[in-house]
Amino acid sequence: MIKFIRLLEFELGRFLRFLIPAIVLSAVIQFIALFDTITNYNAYLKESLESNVPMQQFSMHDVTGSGLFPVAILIVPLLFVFYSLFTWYREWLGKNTFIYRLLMLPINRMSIFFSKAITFLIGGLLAFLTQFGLYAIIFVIFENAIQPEYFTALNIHNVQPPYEMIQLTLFPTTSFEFLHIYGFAFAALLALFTAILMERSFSVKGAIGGIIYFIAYFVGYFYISALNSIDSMPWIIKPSHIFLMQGAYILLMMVISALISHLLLKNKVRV
Amino acid sequence: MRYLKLSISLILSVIGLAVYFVTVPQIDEDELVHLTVQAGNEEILDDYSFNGYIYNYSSFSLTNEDILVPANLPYLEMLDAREEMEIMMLKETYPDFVNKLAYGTNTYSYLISADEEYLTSAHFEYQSNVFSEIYSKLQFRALNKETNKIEEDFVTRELGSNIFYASIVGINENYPVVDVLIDTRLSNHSNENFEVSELSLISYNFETKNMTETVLLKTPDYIEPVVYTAVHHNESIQAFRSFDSETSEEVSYLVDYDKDAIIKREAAGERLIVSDDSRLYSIVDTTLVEYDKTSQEKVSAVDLTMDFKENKNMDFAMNELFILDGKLFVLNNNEIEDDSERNQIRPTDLVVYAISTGEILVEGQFTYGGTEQVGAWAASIDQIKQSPTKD
Repeated sequence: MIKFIRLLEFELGRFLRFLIPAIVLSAVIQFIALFDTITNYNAYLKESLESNVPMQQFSMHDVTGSGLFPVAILIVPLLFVFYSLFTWYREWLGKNTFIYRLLMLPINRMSIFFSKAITFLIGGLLAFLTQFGLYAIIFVIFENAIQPEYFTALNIHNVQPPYEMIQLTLFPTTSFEFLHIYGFAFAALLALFTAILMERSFSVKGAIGGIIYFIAYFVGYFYISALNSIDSMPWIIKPSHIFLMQGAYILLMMVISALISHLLLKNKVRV
Repeated sequence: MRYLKLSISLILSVIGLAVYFVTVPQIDEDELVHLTVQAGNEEILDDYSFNGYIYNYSSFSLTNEDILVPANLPYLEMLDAREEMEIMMLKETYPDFVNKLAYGTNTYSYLISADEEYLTSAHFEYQSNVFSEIYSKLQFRALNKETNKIEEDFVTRELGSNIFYASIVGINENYPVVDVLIDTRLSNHSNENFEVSELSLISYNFETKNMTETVLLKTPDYIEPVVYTAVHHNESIQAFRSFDSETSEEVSYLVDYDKDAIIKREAAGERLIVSDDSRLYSIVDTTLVEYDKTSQEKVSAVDLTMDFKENKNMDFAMNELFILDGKLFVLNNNEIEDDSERNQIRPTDLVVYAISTGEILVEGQFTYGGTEQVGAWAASIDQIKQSPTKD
């Protein structure tokens, strides 16, 4: 267990070297968007006072809805997509073929797989919570920059315009939704890891198989999502049934991905 | 220190997640909608439920005893909740009959007729992507409440290829006969950009299996029911409204299910109301008029006492009107008028009149609380019904 924790600490350290700069870059862009909105507000206030036109209300939606803000938010998820590939291929393609040393470690090879996966889990939580903290800081600055009579206070969980993808997918407001959305992403990550190991094990054939496996994960999930709109379905399927089936599917795919990866790491993977 | 990065990350994650979920806003149901009776006898309201919507958050149903907010239900129940509370109540009592309508994979545009003996429904059976096929398959269902037996029959309508939309807009049951009204939108063959609305009455007999279809009205204007509800209670007449594009005036129509006829009302600026006992009323300015079965002869007329406080918007065209148990309910949903007020959810005013005298029985106001916590931007109450009781 200690060896696994040391490996996890090692992987996390490597990931934080990418994650922290990405979060800082995202924060800087978010503050630029904030100050841009405050500048616009001041210009609008001046214009309204001069022309005696009633002022509109301002809220955090004016900050988060500005063009730069969603771009800033998406930097971190994009890093996760990039790093999910990079974390494996650097071991083979980087200097010194590090995978050789990793596979020679006197621990179960699945520790490599799980240390990388859990690194993403911890990194994901850190990124999620840092963004939540940034919302709080931006909220306080914006609240103090706007005159109270023109400021609409929103709960910190509603600072993104409702029904927008960012709000719906990244910041769920129930623990069920949180587990579901982040569980879906984690299972997708494991499927991708499995696909990478297929490619590392069987070269071109493995790459094709891996791509099919990865795409099949999404196809399966969205097939379940669409069950209640399939015309020929003989049963009544309630939305709660779909939700439970999706949850079971996510868990099943995590187990299948781990099993395939275990077999590949143990028997097939090539250095 | 060993494992510093891991320890700090895990501690931050656990604390942060706890803070995140502790700060998730929950509207206290008791605070969400509150009815304050400002004048009159508040006990009059005890028998009614008020259904409305907090925009971007949830629908709600308020009775004098409690409030039901689907968004506050346990998560899985919330997923299965339906906005119309009467559907939720029926679903509890008659799941086999209602679930197919509420969750059916190929059920489209359904209405239910509920009376003491039967639940009857009609819906389109969605098994194709071709409009003329979707809207040609109509399914009728009837549940005998005593025996719990469900009858299901399909009928096929003859439709041309120029149909592009249809919906069921009315239902009336007199078992074994059920009548449904279907609003069909057709493109005009000579000009594809020109639409025609066709209001058809379809009668189906569960015993003889006979179906008849009669086109009651063809109009180039959109026609819509005055009251939108998925559950009807066998009112023998139903009011519709349309906007006459030539005269730019609102036109009222009345469908009489007993006579299989439609009557166009000529009175400009009137609002038609069908009471729960199928009587026809209209309001013009501040006068409430009751009409006889022909809808042409006035039975009575009363002036409504209009002593509202200043600044209240009492433009009837903006209000929801209901007549139940000999009382006229006027709901005035005050919408925000410009962007400068977008953080204010205005209250809904309620006035209840005695239709026999026109005097005000109750004056009250619904106020909404805690809504800014969930980012809600408007609220309205759009339906009053007898308080739901389980059979």
